[in-house]
Parts: sequence; structure tokens; C-alpha cells
Amino acid sequence: MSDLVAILLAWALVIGGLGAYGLWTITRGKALAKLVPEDRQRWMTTETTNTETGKGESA
Amino acid sequence: MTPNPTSSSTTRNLGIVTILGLGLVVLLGGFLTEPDDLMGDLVRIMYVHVPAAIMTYTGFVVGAIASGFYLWKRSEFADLVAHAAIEIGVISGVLLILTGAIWGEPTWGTYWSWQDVRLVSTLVLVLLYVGYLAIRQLPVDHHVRARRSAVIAIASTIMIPIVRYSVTWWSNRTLHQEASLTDGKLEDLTLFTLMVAIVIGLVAFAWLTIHRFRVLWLEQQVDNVGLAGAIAERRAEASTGVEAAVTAPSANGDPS
Amino acid sequence: MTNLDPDGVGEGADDYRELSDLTPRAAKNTATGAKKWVPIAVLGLVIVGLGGIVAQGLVNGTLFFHEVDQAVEERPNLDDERFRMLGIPVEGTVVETTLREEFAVAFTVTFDGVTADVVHIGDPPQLFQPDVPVTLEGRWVNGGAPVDNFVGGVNDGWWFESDTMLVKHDNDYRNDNEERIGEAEERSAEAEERSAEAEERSASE
Repeated sequence: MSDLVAILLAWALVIGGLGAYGLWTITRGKALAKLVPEDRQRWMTTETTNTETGKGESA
Repeated sequence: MTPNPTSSSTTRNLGIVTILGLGLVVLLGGFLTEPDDLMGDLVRIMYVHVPAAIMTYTGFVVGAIASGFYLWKRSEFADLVAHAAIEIGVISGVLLILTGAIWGEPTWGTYWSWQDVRLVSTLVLVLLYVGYLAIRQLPVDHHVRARRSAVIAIASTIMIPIVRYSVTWWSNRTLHQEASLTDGKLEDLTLFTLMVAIVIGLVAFAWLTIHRFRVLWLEQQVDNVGLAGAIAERRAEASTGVEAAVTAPSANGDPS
Repeated sequence: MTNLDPDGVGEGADDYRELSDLTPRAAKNTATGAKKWVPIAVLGLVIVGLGGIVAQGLVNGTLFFHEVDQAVEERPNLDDERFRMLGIPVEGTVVETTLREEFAVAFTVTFDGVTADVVHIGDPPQLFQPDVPVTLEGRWVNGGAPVDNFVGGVNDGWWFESDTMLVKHDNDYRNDNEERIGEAEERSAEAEERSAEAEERSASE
């Protein structure tokens, strides 16, 4: 394995691995959110909740 | 575009910082920093290897703190934070070992050495937390699972100082260099780049942990919704069954 | 529950099936064996892995580890026992050779002022070079070295036959050779200055 291949492989593993995990959480979150009433997704429904959309701006 | 249900303004900001920061790390670590005298360009693996190590430790420490909080307050929230942080710690730990192996082959002359205390203790640490994640998947009551896994998460932190100080305690039993950050042996731009890479790694860690926590929260809610739905449906079936029994006694009251 | 698809064809079909399953969750997990066995299998692997590491540690623990000075001191007791030796290759001593028809390198290592001659069979790692410590695995041999003379070596008949070499790189990442050369020159200039002063003093006495 050449030095360049080793460097690219290491960088691709870390960035790709964590990136793929991040994408998986988003996809899984979307699928699960369909099954849960919005009032139980509590980071979206705090005191700053938008009354029109029901979506909050909270952290 | 449908809004992402596990996002909030905080996670969006963290995501933006991660992506921009990653660009900066690629620019600095990939192009602007100089190669090392001895190992040449291979030193660039350090800019992903060290942040992966920091993310691993952070995941396990955050997991242990959250687990302690769970045992103290019995907070479901803390239990899920521990799960999320440790899962990301395990993924980072696997990446840490893999990037170390890729770096080790051309520099030390081996992908892996069973005689190396740093390498072996890191593997033990990661394996312990893989065990933690496996135990969380066993089908038991939520509270039993949370209590059991919290104890394991806290007990496993015993390995962290062993991994951290193994290179100092057994300096002749390891190929691994001692901590590079704390002894001021890095060049200015190299040190700056490594610091940026670590900060971005921690921002990415926070982003991933929050998202994963929300997914776990949703999973828990789905479990609860499923249970509530099943109870409601059973009640409905029971009342239908009673009606059926009244109108057709031969059915023996069994729900149809 | 508005996105569920009871017809079993759309995106929500699996969700519908999952939610309309009336069996309690814990019971469902026990019923669907595959799901339960995955974490048990992983746990088993973790336990086997940890056990393996402990066993490996015990096996490795039987292999002695010595720095060059200790290895030389312990030579009478070591006999032809296999052990690991840590030393720093000495500049100008590395010579290519062959041992039992295989490529090998002969060189001298030092530690704490004691030196030893080494023949390593096989290609050394990329980072193998003078002044960078190496861990060698092998045994002491007396006589019959593949080289007549270890350049700058001890040449007392004893040599260490190694078949495993690992480079122990330190954390001194640097990218300016000039700085190193500069420092070395500074040191030699200081030494010259000191010797000149000493000469002056002895001349005046």
C-alpha cells in the first residue's frame, strides 16, 4: 500500500464512516417520526412552539 | 422538502460548523501542513486518528456521566444520552483502531501488535462498550436494561486511564508514541491543524449524539405508542367479543 | 399514526404491521428468536475476544523483554531462548546481506552505552533508520554470522538473529531538517568553543 493510498483510506474511513452514521440517524429519525405524535417529539414542542406549524425552534 | 424531524436550530448550526470545519481540516491537514521528516506525508493520518481517539474517550466519559445521572435520578433522558454517546464512542473507537492499523503498517512495520499495551488496551476498551451496546439490545424491561447498562458503562471507564497512561507506564512495551499534544513537540501549523481537527471532531460528536439521542427517544415513543395502541385495540376487541357472545352464544365469547 | 399504510404496499406498510401487532414488546422479542440471538451472539464474541486477549497476554508475558544492555548482561542465562530486544540502530552500521538464502540486514544497536550486533532476516520497515529505536524479536547466536565484520560493531562473535522488527517511532514530529541540522551544528560549535577554552586554559597554566 502506497503512502497516498494509506492516507486517503484513513481519511475516507473516518469521514465516510461518521458521515454514513449521521445519514442513518436522519433516515431512521424520519421513519420513526411518522409513528410518533408530534406532541411527543419534545425537542420540537417547547414554549417557543410555532402555533401555526406546531414546530418549535428549540434546541 | 420535508423538515428533518430530528433537527433543531442547534443541530443545524452544529452541522454547518462540522461541514465548514471539515473543509478547513482537509485544506490544512491535506495540503498546507508540511510532511514529517521521518514519516513524510503519512503524518497526515494523525489529523483523523487523534480526533477519532478524542471522540472515543468523550463518548465513553459522557456515557459514564449520563449513566451516573441515571442511577441518581432514574432519568430516562440520561439513559438515552448514555446510549447515544457510547454508540458514537464505539464507532469512533473502531475507526481509531482501523486508522491506527493503516498508519502502523508503513511506520512501525505492522498493522497490529499483540505486545503493544496501547493497542491491546484500546481494543479491550472498545470491546467492553460493544458488550454494553449488546446488553442494551437484550429483551428486558426498560428500567432493568437502563440500570444494568449504567453500571457497565461506569465500571468500564476503569480502562480509560489505563489506555491513556499505558504509553507512559509501559513505555518500552509499546510502539505507540506518548501523547503528542501535551509535550509541545508539534510544529506550530501542525499543532494548530490538529487542534482544529479535534474541535471539529467534538462538534461532530455533539451533532451525532443529539441526533442519535432523538432517534432513541422516538424509538422509545414508538414502543409506548405500540403498547398503548395494542391495549386500545384489545379493549375494542373485548367489547366486540362481549357483543358477539350476546348475539351468538355458540362463539363462546372468543374475539373474532 | 396518520402515515400508516394498512394496505401493505406503501411506505408505511411495515410500520402498520409493527403497530398492529398486539403482542406485547418483550414477548414479541422472545418470540422472534433471530432478534434476541443477535445481541447474545455479540456478547459471546465480546467475552471470547476479551478472554483471547487475556490468554494472548499470558503467552506474551512468557517472552522476555530486554533493552540491549540487559540483553547483553543476561546472555549467559538466556541461552538460545527467544526474547524481544529494544535498541537504537547506530548510524553507518547498516549493511545488506543474506542469511539462509534470504535477504537480511546486518547492523549494530545500542542502549545505555552498550552495543550489540544484529542480523535481521527480511525487509525492515519503511521507517527503519539510524537513531530510531526498534524492537527486535529473536535469539542470541554465537559465531557463524553472515557478515565477516559488523561495520562499527562489537564483533565479539555474538550476534542477535532477529526475524521480527518493529519501529518504535517517537512523537517528535518535525518538518524542517534545517532546524535539526542547525541545532546539531550549534551543539558542535559549543563543544568546539569549550575545547578551545580548555586549550587556552591549559596553555596559560
